[in-house]
Amino acid sequence: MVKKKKAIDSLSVIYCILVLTFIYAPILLLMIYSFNSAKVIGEEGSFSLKWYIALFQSEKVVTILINTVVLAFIAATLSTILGTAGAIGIFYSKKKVNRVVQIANQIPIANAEIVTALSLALLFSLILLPRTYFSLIVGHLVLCTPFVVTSVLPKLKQMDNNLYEAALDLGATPAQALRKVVIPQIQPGIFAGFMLSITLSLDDYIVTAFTKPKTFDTISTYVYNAVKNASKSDLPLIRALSAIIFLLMIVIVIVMMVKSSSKEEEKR
Amino acid sequence: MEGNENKIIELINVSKSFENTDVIDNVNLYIRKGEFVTLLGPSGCGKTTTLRMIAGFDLPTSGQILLNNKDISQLPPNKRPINTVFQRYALFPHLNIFDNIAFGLKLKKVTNTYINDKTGETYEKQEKLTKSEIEQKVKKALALVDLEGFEKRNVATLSGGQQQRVAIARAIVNEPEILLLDEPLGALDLKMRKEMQLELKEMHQKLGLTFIYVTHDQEEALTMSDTIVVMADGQIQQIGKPTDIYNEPANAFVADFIGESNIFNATYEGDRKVRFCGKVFACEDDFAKNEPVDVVVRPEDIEMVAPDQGMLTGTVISVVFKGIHYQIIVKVGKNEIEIQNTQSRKVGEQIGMNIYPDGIHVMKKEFTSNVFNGVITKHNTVEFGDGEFACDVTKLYPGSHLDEEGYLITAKGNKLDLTGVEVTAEVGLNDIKMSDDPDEGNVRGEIISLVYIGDHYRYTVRTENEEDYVFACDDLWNENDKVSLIIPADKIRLTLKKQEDA
Repeated sequence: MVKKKKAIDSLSVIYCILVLTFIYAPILLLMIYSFNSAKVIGEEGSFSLKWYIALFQSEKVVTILINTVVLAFIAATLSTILGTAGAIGIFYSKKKVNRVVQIANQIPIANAEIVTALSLALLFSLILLPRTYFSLIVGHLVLCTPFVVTSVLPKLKQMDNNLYEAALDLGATPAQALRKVVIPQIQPGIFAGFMLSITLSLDDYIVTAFTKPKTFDTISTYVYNAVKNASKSDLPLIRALSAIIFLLMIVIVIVMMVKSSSKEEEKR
Repeated sequence: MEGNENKIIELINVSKSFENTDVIDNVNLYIRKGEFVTLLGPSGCGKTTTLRMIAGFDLPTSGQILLNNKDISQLPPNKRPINTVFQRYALFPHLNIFDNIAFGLKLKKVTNTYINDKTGETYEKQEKLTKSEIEQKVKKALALVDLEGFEKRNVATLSGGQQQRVAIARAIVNEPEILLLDEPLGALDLKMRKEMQLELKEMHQKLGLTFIYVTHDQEEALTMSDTIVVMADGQIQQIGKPTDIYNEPANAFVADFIGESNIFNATYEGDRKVRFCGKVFACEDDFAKNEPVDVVVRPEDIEMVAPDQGMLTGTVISVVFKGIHYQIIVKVGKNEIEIQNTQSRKVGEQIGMNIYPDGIHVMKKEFTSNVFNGVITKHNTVEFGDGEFACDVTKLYPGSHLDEEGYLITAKGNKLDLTGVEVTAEVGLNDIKMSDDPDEGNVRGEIISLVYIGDHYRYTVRTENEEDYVFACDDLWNENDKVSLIIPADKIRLTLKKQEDA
């Protein structure tokens, strides 16, 4: 019996390792080759930082990086405001309205992104809206806002409904009650919605491609175009870029995990 | 307590409906300054809605709420000098105790009067309270609820009782004119609750504030209140001092809800005599002769004597020790009578019982319908009130139907034999017809009383076995007429008797 159990244990460990390898090996390969002077993966080469140096020397890539981050922050900020207001509106509206709007909010989340992107493009063409930063931000708002609503609404439902009434009772106007009591209560949901919007906006390709101005590029559209047009000179740069993005994400994830676990300990 | 001059709040013809259901039906009530008033009633009786309308969370559908003779019906809660202690405390979890209590103070603006140094003129300024003023007030409030030094504590680290105290401090620190308390002790354990009851009462005396307290716990209401308002079905049943409510309940509902009680169907025999349990008792109340009434007798007002010395005799069917007294249930004919006494009796023993005039409280019977205990027969008819009636048993189980053999098939497909099932049968006042042909109706009886009410007569027909039917009829018949009663099957509302909770 003991032997059998041990065999199962080691099998499950091997299985886990296999799954993780399958997920992380390609990224690892990419990262290793980003430190290699070879132009194509598989070619012989030696350790070098030249792609990183080239990456930060390329004015084009730096602009794209900044573009992407700025766009993500603007889109996330605006959709957080819009989505939070929407969630509060839904929560305090009558039952029928509440249900209809909630379903309407679910549809864009379930909908294929390409349909959203195409419809947006069609709409913009119909109202003769040129592709500008404005259309791009509107596109990203359409993408992110429903997710903010879905992450804020549960927090509102969890909140003791008497809290808002207690604030009014103690002399707060509805606006003061919202600011001093409701918002602090749903703040974790708002933050989660904001982070979700950032990640959504950062790596979005489809909506960006359909709504961006012609000369504007984010990392996604740049990488996609670079791969598609096989402009070989850019490809090794993308390895370095991908490695940096991946490391950045790992750092963010670890920081968030540490933060939330320390918060939980505080509660105890 | 006398005089109506110092009314602090008054509800005039207040009604409230949510989506076409009336929750509050034409409530009239006033509360005097400094009073401790309890709204008492079972859940769903409208007491919390009444409180919420006074606080301003719900607005009345019609009627007026006056505070110091000014209409505040449409004023939002933040404009009313009224504060609430919520059932689940509703403390702000993101603020510490100090900030919770100071919440209202920080929003408050007071009018300060200054003198201009140069001109000597006085002028007024709307100002927020200063930091030290707020600190002082919070400290005072914390001292009042015995939580000195708790300022920096987190809400989540407090026990239920402590949170309750903070909630009270948070409300009274604003010096409201009225403090509303919505079942504030409901979440506490029994011992804590008793302590807090006394503390609240003490606090009320110390502060001199008007307290409006909502509870479903009759003992709590009796302990704490100056005045109790008993509510049921969105209406006020009785307003009075605790002793009055207990000793002189206005109707069977109040008697049943407040304390333990025996309620009997009775007939007023005239001349301060009332008939129930097949005997005639002397009483202290006056009613019209032959009027059907309800009689309430408190369990402690029944004296136990030897079988041959009692006005009533019966058999003891259960004895339960309750700490201070024994609860003894005695079967007298069809009635079960509850007695509370420090002496015990044996189960099965025959005892005599005496009830004296001051222990008998006669109440006006408020008829809304005839209610009978019934049994379903094997022919799927119902027997009640000395008669057998055709009825629709499928209404007992929604979606059910009868098969050819007379078994009931429920919506889920279960086969039921209803023979012998106990039901409650209800017949409205306008659903009974009289006939002088003894065989036309399902039950025979004699008219024992008729009362002219505005545009119709109200008849009471009594059967051989003293079952009474009350109904309205436009035509004039005579007392002592022998009649038979017709009740159409679709007018009999049947409900299954649920096992009563012990």
